[in-house]
Amino acid sequence: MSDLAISAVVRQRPTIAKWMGALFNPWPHALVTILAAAVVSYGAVELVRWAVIDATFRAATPDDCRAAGGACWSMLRARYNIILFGSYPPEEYWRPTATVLLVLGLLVASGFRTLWKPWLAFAWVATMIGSAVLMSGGLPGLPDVPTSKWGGLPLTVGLSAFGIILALPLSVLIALGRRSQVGVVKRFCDAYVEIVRGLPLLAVLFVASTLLPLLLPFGGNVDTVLRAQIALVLFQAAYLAEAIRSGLEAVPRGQSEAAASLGLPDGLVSRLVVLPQAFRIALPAIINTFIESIKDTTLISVIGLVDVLGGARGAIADGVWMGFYGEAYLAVGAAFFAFCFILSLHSRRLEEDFARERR
Amino acid sequence: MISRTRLHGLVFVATATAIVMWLSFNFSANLAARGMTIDFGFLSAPTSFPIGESLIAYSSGDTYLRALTAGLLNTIHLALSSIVLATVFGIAVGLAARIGHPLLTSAAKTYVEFTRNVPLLLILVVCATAVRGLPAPRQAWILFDGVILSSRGLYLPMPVFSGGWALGIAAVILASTTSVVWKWSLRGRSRLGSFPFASRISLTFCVAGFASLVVWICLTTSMDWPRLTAFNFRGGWSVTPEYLAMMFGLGFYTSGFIAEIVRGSLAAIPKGQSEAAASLGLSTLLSLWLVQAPQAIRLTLPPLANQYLNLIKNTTLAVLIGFPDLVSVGNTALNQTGRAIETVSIYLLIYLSLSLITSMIIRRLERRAQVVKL
Repeated sequence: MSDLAISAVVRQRPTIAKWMGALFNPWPHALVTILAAAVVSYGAVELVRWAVIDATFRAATPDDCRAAGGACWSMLRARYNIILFGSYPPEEYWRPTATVLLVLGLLVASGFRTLWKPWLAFAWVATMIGSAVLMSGGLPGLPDVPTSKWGGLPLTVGLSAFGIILALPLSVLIALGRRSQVGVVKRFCDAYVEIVRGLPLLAVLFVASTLLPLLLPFGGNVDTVLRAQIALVLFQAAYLAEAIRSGLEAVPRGQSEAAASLGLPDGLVSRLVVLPQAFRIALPAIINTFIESIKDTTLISVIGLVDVLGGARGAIADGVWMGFYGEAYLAVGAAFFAFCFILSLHSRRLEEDFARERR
Repeated sequence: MISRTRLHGLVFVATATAIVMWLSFNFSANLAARGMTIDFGFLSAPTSFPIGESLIAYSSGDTYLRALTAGLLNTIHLALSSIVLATVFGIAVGLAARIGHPLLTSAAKTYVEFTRNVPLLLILVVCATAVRGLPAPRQAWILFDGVILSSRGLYLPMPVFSGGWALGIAAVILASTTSVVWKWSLRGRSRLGSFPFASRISLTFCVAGFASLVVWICLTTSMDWPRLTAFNFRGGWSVTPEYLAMMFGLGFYTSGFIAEIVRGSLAAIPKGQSEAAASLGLSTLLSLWLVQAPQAIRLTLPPLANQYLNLIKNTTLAVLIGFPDLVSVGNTALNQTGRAIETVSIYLLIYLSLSLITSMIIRRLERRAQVVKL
């Protein structure tokens, strides 16, 4: 191939000159540019004035804040504990902090493909037990804290992370069941996914909180946090099963046929050949489901649990700091956005990696 | 000898039956222990709570069935208007991303990322807070003549049709006649190359019919303007602040997802299509309308249907905002009667059928869009 042909194939990187040209080039673009510049600069000036110049950062009373006229970050300073930990006893704050750090650390570790080994599953199980013990106490040195006192970040992080981890094996079973040759199994799994996906999470949470205690023995003393966790797992499993099924369908038939012709039994064909590939293809979709589940965790407030958003609503609900909605919602929204955005960037990077490797 | 799949099926059925039996045994034991029964008779009992807004006449003391129906109608009303809002916003943002202006593209991207990564409940709570900050009726914002926004909600002038049933029947007859005539004329045109004389005459009659219908409507219709009384507005067509908050929150949240679908499906159409349209001399708008949109719509429909379904399911968040949808009315009923199992099973039944009906409608639309493909 001649050099000319190669240079024609190489994609031109947009230069600054070209970018500037698009800002003004057909003349209506110039109008949009000027209008947008005016709106953005006005907005930025107002935002900086509110959030920095007129804002109160030091410890202050609500009246100081109202006098200053800007954002009242002192509110967050005074009420961070309610937003982050709900009504957990203040002298025990290190326990929810440790739980959140533990779960987040393991979550980050699970993001690296080199660490995808069997011990990761054991680490998750250990973390689940460990954080439950750490949060509820009962051991010497760890005073009992009933789940009714739990709240804030540990609930948001724990319920969404454990939810997805517990839903994963269940959803693999369901996805495999939908491809089963056994008619009853296939129909059951199909029906499960269709029904759960047709229901709002809020309704599922209500079902869990009213029906679960009645369906289990011993008069059904199921803790509210556990009910929410079960509802989230059952709900996310249907969505994850759909993601994994699309991964399974993307694995070429030749793969399982080749494995079968090597003499592998059906179970091993799935476990060693089809599932690893399907999982890789489905991973971006799985992470997107995880993002949705983080956002969905805010709904647990409907059965009386206090997550981060519920904590923020609680922090400004009493008479003292009433009216500082903007600061509280901005802080919580920024936290959710940052966490979910990082995850979605990661999912997009994985997608590109896999696409490149498959070429 | 029994085949392996058969055996697996039998094992599965046996296990499932055992689990279901265990659960139902627990269920009946727990019900008996708590002295609970399952009885839908409460539906015909009188309620003792009001509902903030309702499309059907409802007052405290009507039956629970009527209260739940009012809630269901509110849910459907909210879902329909939010779907319209989300679609309009979504298409606008999706198209803005395709114009090619760098600032518009990045603004659209930010919009999409924002809706994707922030919980819906947070958006709804912010909307509900914003709506509470609207001015009192006396300081209401008058956006246009007769369009009034205040802490009591949005008031619009409402046309009152005094023509009654005759007007509706005439409109239906005229519309169906026109559609038959139009199809017949199109057939004539494809046979002769131009509209035959007879169909030109009849189409003229149809147009004249529509013109006289419009004149009739104008003559018989009066506008009902909202006007300020002592503490509130009277007359006109109004929606409550909670409804506004829910509609804007849901519409905004879903529009980000729809914008991404619109952008993605337009981007998926081969560039040759728009280039060919441009070389035929079609303007950008015409090329979008005649060449790109008809092809993109086929890619759009399945994910769009999913978003509509999500929106309908998300209307349940109204219970946290204070808008009387099915779930919030149902929860009030639950608290008053203690009929938890019955109320929750009504939720399940209704939301499942709403989802099924929506996906059925969308599947029909998809089939129609597929027919266009040659």
